[in-house]
Amino acid sequence: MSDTILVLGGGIAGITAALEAAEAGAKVYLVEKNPHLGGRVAQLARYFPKLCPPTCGLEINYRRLRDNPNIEVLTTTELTALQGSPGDYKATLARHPRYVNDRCTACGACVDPCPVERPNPFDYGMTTTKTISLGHEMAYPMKYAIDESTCLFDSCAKCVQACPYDAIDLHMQQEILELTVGAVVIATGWKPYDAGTIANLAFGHFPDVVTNVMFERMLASNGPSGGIVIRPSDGKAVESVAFIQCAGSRDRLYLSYCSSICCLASLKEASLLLERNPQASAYIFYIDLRTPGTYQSFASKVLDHPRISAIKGKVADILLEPGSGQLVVVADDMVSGAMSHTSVDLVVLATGMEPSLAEGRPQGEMDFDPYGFVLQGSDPSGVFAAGCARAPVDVATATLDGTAAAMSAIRASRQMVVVP
Amino acid sequence: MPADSTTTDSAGGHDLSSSSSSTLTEAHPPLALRPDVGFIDRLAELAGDSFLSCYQCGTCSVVCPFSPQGTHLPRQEMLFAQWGLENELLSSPNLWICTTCGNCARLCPREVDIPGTISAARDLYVASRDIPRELATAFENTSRQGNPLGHSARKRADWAGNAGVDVPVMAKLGRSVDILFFTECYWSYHPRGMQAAQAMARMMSALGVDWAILGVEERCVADSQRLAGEIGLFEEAAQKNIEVLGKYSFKRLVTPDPHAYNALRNLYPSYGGSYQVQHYTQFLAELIPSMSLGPIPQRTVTFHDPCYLGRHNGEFEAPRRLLEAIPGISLVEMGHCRADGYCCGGGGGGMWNSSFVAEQVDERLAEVRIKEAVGTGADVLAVCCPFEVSLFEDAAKSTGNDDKIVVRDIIELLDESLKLH
Repeated sequence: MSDTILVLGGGIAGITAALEAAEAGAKVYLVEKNPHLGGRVAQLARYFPKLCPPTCGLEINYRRLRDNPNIEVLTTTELTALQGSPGDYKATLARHPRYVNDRCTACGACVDPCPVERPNPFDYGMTTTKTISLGHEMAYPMKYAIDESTCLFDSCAKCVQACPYDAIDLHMQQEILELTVGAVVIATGWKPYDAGTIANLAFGHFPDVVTNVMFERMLASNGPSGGIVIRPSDGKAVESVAFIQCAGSRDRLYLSYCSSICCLASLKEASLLLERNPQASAYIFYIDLRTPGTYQSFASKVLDHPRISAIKGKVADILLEPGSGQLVVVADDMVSGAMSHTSVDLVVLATGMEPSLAEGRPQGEMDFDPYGFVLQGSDPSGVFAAGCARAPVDVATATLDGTAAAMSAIRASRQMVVVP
Repeated sequence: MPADSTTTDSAGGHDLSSSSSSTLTEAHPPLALRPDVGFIDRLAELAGDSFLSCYQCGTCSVVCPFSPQGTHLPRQEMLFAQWGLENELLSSPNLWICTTCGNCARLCPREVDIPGTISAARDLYVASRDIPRELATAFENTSRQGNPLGHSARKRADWAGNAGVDVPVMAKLGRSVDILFFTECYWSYHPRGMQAAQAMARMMSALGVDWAILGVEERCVADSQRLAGEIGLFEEAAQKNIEVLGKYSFKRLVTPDPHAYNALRNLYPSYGGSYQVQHYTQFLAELIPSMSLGPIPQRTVTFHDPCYLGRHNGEFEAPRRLLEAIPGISLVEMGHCRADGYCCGGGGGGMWNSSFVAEQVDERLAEVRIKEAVGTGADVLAVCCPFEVSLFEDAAKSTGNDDKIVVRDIIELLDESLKLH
């Protein structure tokens, strides 16, 4: 049997799809545009439903990947075109240079000599790394990579001299790969909505206004301050946080849909804040608290906490309190019918999820909705979407999606027709 | 609780504030609301039905310039509108505070036409009840004399006598012109407005523009009266103005009043009057290269964006380009500027409703704004809406800032720069 499946995207949905398909006997190419797998999940402090740190699940998955000869992982690689039909797709891939070859042992000897600091994308720019970096301690593959947008290349080359294994090649070139596959799983995931475009929520104006993904990093033990939540402006310990739900979401001016997980994310982040600092206070400002299905019980539990309160009213203005450096969030409290002014150390914007393919799409056999989420092609199609490429979903749903897409991909690669 | 009593709460809406920790359902027995579907339909016919998509997030209430004073919460009015609670909506004093500045609509996530809905509610109210006295007088004046100030319609062009240059009048000219200048009421009658109009005439003359005014044939465009609830008055004025404009041939219509600009540009076409319309700052900004401007004494100037030029019609640059063209001026911005500009309080009928508004709020919007202007360190507040000069000059006096800042229309600063040259 020679089912060959291309999985696009090495986050939780793509990794799951690749593993499920490969463990069922298919040959899988797992393609990731970044130098390392793990996607957005690797950047979370904890994730649903069991509030595990991401290292748990990813570690198990990476071991399954390593152990499975059916999977070929292609990092720094993007799909540029896809043509064909179920059972016979031609995929054109561009493999960008990593500038580090397989001899890398991740010893780290290259780091100190590198003179260039760059904003660390793993921490959403809140920290810096050298231009040659490993991403994070749980990186897969465990190999360094060079950020070509900041590297000085031959005019520096200090890392090349420092590497004891001859693993750095500053002249590596892009390669074009042509693969023939039977089916494709698109698991390209999401990106945080650009909070800077929201006119009245002061992101980029006050340093103590951060986004929910940044706050996940602030809560993470491998984050910018080791999981101790401090104010970005002055390093003061954070005693109070305002979470602003629907920051740009369900808003015809910005992102008109609901990203479905932001309410839960804020509830989770509020309880993690209290875990870090039991004296802290969290205020969640919402239009409707959307906690679908069984997550309602999670919401009830969190909201029972005496130091976590939910205020029905959307924050529409953020002011700087003179002297204290506190931020005052202003909302029209629906329940009391009066304006609410709440003074806090930190404001977290619960921004929504935009599909990664909102722009920069590969050419060929795939359909998108108006926002850039992948639509299931009309049958017979061998292209399947999983995870946040399909719709904004939580981690648990993304893994279920990945499994389901793997099954569909195997079926399509065998050109088995769906009987209606 | 009898069912009837629940719909006739205080004017501010149903009081939901009494309970602190208990839930809403425990604290309040079920409300028996009787939505008046006919009222919803009448409102939607005038304003469109965008208010039906309001999801009560409260953004409008927070960004309303009155909200720091705890009054005028558009969110409640949208709730009354979409539930068809005619009495609650029309009996709220907040209905008469709104200046239709449009900051709420700018940020509304559901794109509700909040100012339009409030104006429509006012129109339904005007038809059946007594409105604030001062506003009623402005409406009567507009109807009788063609201007809200109540001056004689025959004196509409008297300002031109003291301009120091010839001000051509269409009826006497008997030919087509490039620019028909629609002076509007405050530049025609208000003492400070007349000074600005005279400065404008000198600028037109210096630039050699082929222009004329309508003189006594012009009447108030009445866009603010429309937004204050007198749609009928506006329509009557539109019909008459379009008739007069139809007699003459001109290339462009230029007006100093952003409210008139808004109506001439956006509404007159649907009444049969389509013209190329410019605000005077847009017209003059095109002619900056032809202006010979000399240095004026060094001044720090801050600029107030008129709601109906900026937020409602998207023009933020032309006034700034004119100010930057005057040698000696350094421009500083206030925190609230451009799309986030702060209302002076004069729009949507606010110009003629100050006594009523004063009863509802502690501080007038112009007073809040003049303090923001003084806070920038500027010694001049530059404006380009005819309502603003007098509102801000009064506010500078009432807040004790008249020794710190002066209020000038941009045309006055340009005139000074022309004269000194």
